Amino acid sequence: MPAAQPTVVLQGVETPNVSVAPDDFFKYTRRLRYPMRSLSAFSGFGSSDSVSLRQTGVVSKLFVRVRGTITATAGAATSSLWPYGLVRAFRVSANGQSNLINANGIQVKMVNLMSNPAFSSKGVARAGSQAVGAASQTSGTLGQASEDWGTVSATNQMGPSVTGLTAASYTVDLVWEIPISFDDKTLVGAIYAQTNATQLTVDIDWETHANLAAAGTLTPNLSYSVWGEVFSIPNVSGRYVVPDLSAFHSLIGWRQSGLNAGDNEVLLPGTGVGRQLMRVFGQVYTGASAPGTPLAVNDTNYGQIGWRYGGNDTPEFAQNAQQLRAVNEWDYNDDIARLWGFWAYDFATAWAFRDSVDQGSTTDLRVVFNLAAAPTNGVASLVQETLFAAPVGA
Amino acid sequence: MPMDLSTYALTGLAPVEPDYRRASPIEAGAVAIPDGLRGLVSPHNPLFWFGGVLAVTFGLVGVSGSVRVGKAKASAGIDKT
Repeated sequence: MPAAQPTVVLQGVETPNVSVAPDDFFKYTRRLRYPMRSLSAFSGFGSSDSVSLRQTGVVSKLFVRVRGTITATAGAATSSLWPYGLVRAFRVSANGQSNLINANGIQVKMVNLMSNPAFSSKGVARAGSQAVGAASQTSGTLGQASEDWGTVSATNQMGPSVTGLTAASYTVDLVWEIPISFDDKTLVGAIYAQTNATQLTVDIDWETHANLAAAGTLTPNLSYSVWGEVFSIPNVSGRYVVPDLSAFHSLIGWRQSGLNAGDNEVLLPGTGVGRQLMRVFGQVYTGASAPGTPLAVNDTNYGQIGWRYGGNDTPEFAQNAQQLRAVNEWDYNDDIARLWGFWAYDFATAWAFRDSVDQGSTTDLRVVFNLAAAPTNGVASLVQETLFAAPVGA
Repeated sequence: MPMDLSTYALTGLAPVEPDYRRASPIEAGAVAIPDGLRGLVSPHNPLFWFGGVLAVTFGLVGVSGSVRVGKAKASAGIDKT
């Protein structure tokens, strides 16, 4: 009778025996990129698609691509959510840790910009907040030149809050990176998938037509595919080795309504011991009809923006929004405030070890933003990006 | 490779108790002497040897001392004949 193989517990699941040896792992592993889901028809506006990922290696990231056409009626208009808000939520869960990632397409695209120094939309011409055919936006769009937000011709393109679409079929091609690991290089937060006990799923919730079209009808004919980046688990001197997988990467969006003129303090949900805050960022939507439009980040709309904990400990705050906007552009080489109305506090871009915030020792951690006027139906759409120790749980 | 590739060194996320089933030493009910009274008489305990030195010292004092009861006095010492 063969001897039973010893097992270890890794990221909350029992796995065949492996050793944590980052040096050996990075020396001998092989990067693998392959389709997790080949091009498939999406299930429609307001619906959802689910993808179970292959149980292989250490999963670092996923690329989701959506392509196809949108057929507009004459005079149709997009809402402020188009195109990246097409995805109402990317939801990733693994090994019983529910919703490691739960953020909409705009927020995930924003994280793509934040975590990749090589990514910038400066110089990429895109339509936004204008009538069809008006001058293009060339920074802060989060768009890549290889993408397509919806095109009939060079002067007839879709974008957020674009009015006067023609009765035509607009080609669409969008790409998101879903950051399973926090860091592309060192794989902090990557997920060990080389076991039958792992259940790694990605759910893609598609936004409703009502929230995507401000006028007229948009008829989709779209497909999506999921592409994975995985690292093989090498066998070194008779043992299987993995990197330090003691942490999970979490990217959670949440909304807060009831905003008023003056200081608004919004608590970060789910903070606690064993959780480290890497980034917190947000935008404020305002408008008479859903989903509203992002409030431009400038001194007219915003006062101070900062973060706070305890009674009144405020380690960082920008006295005015324009100041924070400049710092954000400095960090990301893109004007994130311009089209999508984002502001961000980033504790990871320079040096996470030094700057990241221990949520175990910062009680009542919250963001503070001052609004000059009470927004109409104002809703803050916020995101916190954290790392948490695997035993802590989601 | 000179780089420290632990999660803590890379991100500042402090390692927590690796096994949540193991009791923490600072939980309620913890005692100052984890080994109990038996630990006090263990040869590994410095106090055990300190006590031994004290016992020998005061033992010799006792051997060379004197006792007075009323008018009677008795004394003894290991160097007296």
